[in-house]
Amino acid sequence: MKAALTNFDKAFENRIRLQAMSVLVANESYDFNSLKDLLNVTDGNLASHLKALEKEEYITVNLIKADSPSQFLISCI
Amino acid sequence: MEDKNALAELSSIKSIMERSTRFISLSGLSGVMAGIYALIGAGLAYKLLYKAEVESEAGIYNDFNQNLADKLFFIALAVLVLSVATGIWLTYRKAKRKGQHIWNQSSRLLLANGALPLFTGGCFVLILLFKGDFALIAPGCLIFYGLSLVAASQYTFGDVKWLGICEIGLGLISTLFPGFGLYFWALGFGVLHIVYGTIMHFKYDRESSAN
Repeated sequence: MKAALTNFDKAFENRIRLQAMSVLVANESYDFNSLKDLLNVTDGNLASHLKALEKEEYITVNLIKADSPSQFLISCI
Repeated sequence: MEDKNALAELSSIKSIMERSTRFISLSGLSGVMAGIYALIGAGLAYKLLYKAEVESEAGIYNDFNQNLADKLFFIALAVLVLSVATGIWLTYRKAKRKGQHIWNQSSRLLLANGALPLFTGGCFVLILLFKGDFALIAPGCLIFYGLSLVAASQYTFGDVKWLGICEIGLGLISTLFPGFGLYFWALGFGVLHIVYGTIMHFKYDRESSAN
């Protein structure tokens, strides 16, 4: 069985991005730290992937608390 | 070969999605412990009530005064505190073993959703205690606890929902038998917890480390 993924958006070609999007589809939104723990990646790694997804307009990233530790909430569009 | 990779990838995605919504570190063993505490508490309560029985010309009746009610309240409170503390400790240990955090989005949602029916039930039962309306206390405890479990089950193992439904059913039945509150309490908080806790323990707690 070969699935022809001809319309597969290149934005998801990375494993971590695909996983992040799966989580955001299953939940309305997810906070950054929980996502980081779930996917087992570092702060910077996750941040760069999320930036890319945000640029492609698949997600929004919102700062929910302006104090430290600041919390980011990621939502699927 | 690619297909095998694809399937493995899919199942890992599925597991991540599942883990993101449900708090899977909940320890089934904590249910067993809560059940044991409840049975011990019920046993103590039974002894207290038995001692309070007074023989008179009208037959045996319970000298159910406020002092007795206070003692029973403290037994119930002790059972609650011990159960929650043990539950948190065992769940923390299980989460650590799995490399998870005990405090994450799903556990937050679990508490947030389970808290309202639980808090409402607590207030309801306290009001009944205050008014001296003892007949509805056991049903009230069971029903609100069951509702809280059903609400929380969305964010942890689905089995918890069935425990909740059983507690609700038991609570409704106990409303029909006002004199037997303690037995229903022992059944709902003791026996049912041990049964479900054991099932969940063998189903979820003892996953092999190869997982």
